[in-house]
Amino acid sequence: MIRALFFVFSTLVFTPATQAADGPAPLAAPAPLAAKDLLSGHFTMARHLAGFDQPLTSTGSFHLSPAKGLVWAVEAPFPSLTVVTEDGMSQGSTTGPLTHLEGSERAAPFVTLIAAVLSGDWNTLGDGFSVASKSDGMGVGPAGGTGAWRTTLTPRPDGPLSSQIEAIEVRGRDLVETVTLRRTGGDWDAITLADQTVAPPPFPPAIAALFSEASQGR
Amino acid sequence: MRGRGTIRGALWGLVLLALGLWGGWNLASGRVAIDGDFLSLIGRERSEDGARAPIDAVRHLLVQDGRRAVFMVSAPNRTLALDTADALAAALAALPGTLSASGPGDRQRRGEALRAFYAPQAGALLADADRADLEAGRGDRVAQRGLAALYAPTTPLDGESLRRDPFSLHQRALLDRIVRLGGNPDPARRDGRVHTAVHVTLAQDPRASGGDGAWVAGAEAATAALTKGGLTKGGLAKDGVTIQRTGQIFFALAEGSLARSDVQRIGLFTGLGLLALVVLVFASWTPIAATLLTVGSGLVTGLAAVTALFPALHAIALVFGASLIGISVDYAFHYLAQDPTRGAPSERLARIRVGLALGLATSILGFLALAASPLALLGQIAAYSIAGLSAAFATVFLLLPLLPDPKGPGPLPLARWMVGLSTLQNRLSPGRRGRVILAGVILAGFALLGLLVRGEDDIRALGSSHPALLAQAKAITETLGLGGAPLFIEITGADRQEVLRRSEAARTALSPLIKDGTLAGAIGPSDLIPSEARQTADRALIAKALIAPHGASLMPLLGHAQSPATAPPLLEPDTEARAVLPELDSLLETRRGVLRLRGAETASVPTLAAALDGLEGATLINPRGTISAQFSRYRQWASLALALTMVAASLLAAWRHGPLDGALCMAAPTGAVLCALAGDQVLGIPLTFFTTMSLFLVFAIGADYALFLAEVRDPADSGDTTLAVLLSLISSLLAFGLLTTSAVPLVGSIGTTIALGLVAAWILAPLLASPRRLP
Repeated sequence: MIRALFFVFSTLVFTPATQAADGPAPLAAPAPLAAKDLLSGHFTMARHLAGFDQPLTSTGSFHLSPAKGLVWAVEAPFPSLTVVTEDGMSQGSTTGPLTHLEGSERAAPFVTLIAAVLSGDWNTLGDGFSVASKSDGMGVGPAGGTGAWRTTLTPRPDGPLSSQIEAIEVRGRDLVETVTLRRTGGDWDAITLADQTVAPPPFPPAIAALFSEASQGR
Repeated sequence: MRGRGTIRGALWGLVLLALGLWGGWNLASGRVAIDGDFLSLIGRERSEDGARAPIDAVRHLLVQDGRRAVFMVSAPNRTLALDTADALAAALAALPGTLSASGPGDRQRRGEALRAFYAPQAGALLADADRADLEAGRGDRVAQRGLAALYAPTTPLDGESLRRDPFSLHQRALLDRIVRLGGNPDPARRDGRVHTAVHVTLAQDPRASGGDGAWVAGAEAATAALTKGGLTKGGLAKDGVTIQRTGQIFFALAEGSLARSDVQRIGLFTGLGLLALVVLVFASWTPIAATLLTVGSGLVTGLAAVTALFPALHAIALVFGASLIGISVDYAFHYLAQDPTRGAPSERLARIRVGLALGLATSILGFLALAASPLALLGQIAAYSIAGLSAAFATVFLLLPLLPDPKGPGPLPLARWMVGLSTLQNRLSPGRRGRVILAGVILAGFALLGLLVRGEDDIRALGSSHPALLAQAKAITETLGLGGAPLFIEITGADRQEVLRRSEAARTALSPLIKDGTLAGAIGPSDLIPSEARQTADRALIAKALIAPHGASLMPLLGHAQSPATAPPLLEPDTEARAVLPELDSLLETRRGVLRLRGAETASVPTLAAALDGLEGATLINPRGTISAQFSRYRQWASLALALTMVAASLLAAWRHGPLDGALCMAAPTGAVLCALAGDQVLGIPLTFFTTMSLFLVFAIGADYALFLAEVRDPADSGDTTLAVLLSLISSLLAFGLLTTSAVPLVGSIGTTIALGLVAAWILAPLLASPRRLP
């Protein structure tokens, strides 16, 4: 499941939908995020779980480096940190040490996918999903119309994630703005991103320290 | 007279033939097994009540360890490391003799199986860190970790699992178990490179079937194929991939190859040398046949005796037994050196009868002292040697007279030179007072060395310590925390649950050592299946220290869905668990369990023992220490037997030659032992069980020299005896002296000890044991 969610998150959240539908036409690639750069922004995530009255809603900030990994900092309702690197996934409070939770065997492929997507390697996406994009009548991609677009990813029946994910819908303009991930059990996550910026190195010391701690703590 | 001798000889020949067939059948039919493994010596002691030392577990564990090998694949990047490791695992799995080989991909698949097995226990199992926090009243930390998982961008949680495990305890509990099962499942990063392991389990110990060479060759071929044309000298492939390895099979094969190569080389030179000696001195096949008959009859009879007495023989007993029976070549030389023109065979035998009998009696006394030890190995050596030497003695008297005499001296006029040598030795021999002083010096030397020399029983000193393999083993231990000294904790209890509880207690005691790096990790049965008491306590702890104080904070989030789920049944080490966790078979029996320690060093043994102090049913097992202690006992018994032999031989010689002359006679071989011991110390050769046994050999052969010389009554016999002693020395030096060139420290130390001792015995025997009556 982690693989599925992270795959979806990493490939969609930071992917302006510029590709054609499920056909042979080449998919347009976004301007790739350089490996050395850091993409930062804020998020709101509403996690809807079957049998629960209300969604688990959280807000916070994120930082993504194709070379290093992802920092997911929840600020409300409870401050917490999740750091995913090639060496695995670690979690902790905003003040205490990180706890290594997942091995790199499971987490590393997600990071690899992040880098692939941000560098415009759409072939990786095409392996497990059928991709359908729509421009809402205003053009496709950053260069067309107002830039609003919507992409739906559906796991191929024989794909490795088909048993876990039902569909993913991504909307955005210049960058991804919302992601809706529907899981096969009926649960679904709605993620909204805002205030995204791309910054060259050096990383803010706190972020660099988190990447370092997550790698050393494995 | 001649006819009766022929009949007796024929009968003896038939007896030898029967004994040979009997011994051969025992071995060929498998009725008596030959064990070549050091490990099998452990726990084979005889005890008064017939019970065996409770150390079978060590042997069992070490046999299991002997079937394991670890390869470390290192590469500049993660993908290359993992891909190469998986390919290597597949190649190794295909090798005949491999039971299983797992690379990173296999470990990931294993992880999924474990997740499925433990899934019903979500919310009921605890990771050690969570348990420690809850027990210390830090439930807030655990709750915070749970909330972090709840809001993480990637989470394994769904509605169902969240109801059972609202604080996401399961993810951490699961990781604890996965890490302990396979070491760290993730690649390690070190020195800018990525390192990962391939674990191999062999179907059986290939050394037992002789397939070790083929397996290692196959593994090397697989390695070479994966590193594109093979490794460079430093183990570095062209694309930067390195593959290092460790495991008993590699060390055993490397040392075995070295020893075999030495033995072949030494055997060739020894054989050629002895042949040349006999041809040069006798120019006849008779001496060759005589020596072969004498030694061969000893070997055959010795083998028949031990196969009749023992259900299994150790290779060390056979090797030492055969070496000691080699003493009997002296008997043959003593007869052969007699000038054939000086009488019929029976007359020649009459001249040497007493000397030979005393030599045999001295040796038997020594071996009886060995046999008196409670150690089966020494008992086997003693039985082999006593029976063999007795048979060789009989062969000299019953068969050798039937052989035709050599027609004349060979091209090397050694016999003529011996008269001169004998005269010279006699002139150099001091008077009685001088001999007493020399004997006193020998005694004083023993007293001094007794104070200075300390035994060395560490088995690591016995091998050649292949430097390249040692370096690889060190790198794997330091990088992946795998390998290291094999150390175990044996857990005993009245039943499985008690074993599990005690395993948990031992693990708790070890936690600080894992934290501070003394240990890389450990795995015991309770890591896989906690005791019922632990599971029940964990559930109570979760309810009291986590759900009760912090569950309310989840209420606004989870609403009515946060209803307590039905508690899952307790985990049991049952058939279902063993199907998913085959490790349980080796870690947990009905009344016994094992905690395997990873990355431990021998130096940590005292710290580990201290950590376990006071824990009931937990015993630290240090196989290396245990084996070393065993060899220490062997050495001590052999030393005691040697001392007793010296005393007994002196008493025997005193009975024959009078108190003073007898003591002086035995001072010669005693001095030879002293010289060998002192020489070893100067050369830095440690006093081990094996060098002690070599000293035994030195004394036995040296005693023969002294007794043969002391028995000379006729000046005309002096040259013959001197020749016999010299031939014995030369043949012994050819056989043992060449061992000094061996690259295996154990073999080299035996050769050096014997060579030093025999030369000293040859020099000292005429000085201390020559009869005074001769001119």
